[in-house]
Amino acid sequence: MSATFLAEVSLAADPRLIRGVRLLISSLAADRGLSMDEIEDLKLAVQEACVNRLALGLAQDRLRIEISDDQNTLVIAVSGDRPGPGNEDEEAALGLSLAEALVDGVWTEDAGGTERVVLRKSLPPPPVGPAS
Amino acid sequence: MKRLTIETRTDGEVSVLSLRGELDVATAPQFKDALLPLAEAGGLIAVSLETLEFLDSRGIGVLVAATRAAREAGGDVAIAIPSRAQRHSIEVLKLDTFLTLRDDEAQAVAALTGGTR
Repeated sequence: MSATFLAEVSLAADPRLIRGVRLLISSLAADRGLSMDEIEDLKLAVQEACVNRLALGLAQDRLRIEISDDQNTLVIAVSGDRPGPGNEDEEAALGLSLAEALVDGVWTEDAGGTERVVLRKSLPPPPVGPAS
Repeated sequence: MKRLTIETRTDGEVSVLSLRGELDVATAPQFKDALLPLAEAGGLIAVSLETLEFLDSRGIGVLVAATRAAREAGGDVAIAIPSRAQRHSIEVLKLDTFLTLRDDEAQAVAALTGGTR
């Protein structure tokens, strides 16, 4: 079964604009039944993924965030517009370590010439309706 | 509206910096500019995050750098951080044993003046 597309955002590579991504993530996660604590963790994980792309120089002009629901798992992919490998940045690596502790899965993968960070967060099971 | 507001005052020999808003990659330089000179001068500094809404790894990085600088210069930094989520981030990075974390501003000031680290 293919993933359900939820949102795609393309931003200028400006750290100040990541705040808008956090608001979007917060809204989508609340709609899908995550708790307040889980939403806070997810917002921070996405923040760290965005900062990682910017800090490594992989998002020079644009930062792109794609959000989908893959079999009741929220999947968030963050990529830039430049090919890797990026700059060395100890703090960027630290940020991804933090993200790994906050969601169910974090990895990097090739995305057509550049590299993207993918986050996975399991969603609570959808409510079961009354038996008819 | 400013993303991060920093209010600075003194409580006896302690400089108290109260942060309101968001401390993240966009505002960390502003915080660093306010905090690091005090730290490098060897001051006793309480940083209150009691009304901080968001903290990312770049903000944590400034707290670590300032704590290190202050201790090297004979001072120290204590942080009032009541938020469970924000404290959890610091614990995940295994920095909770390096940073002095307290639940509120009064306890942070006491940690600097009363030897209760």
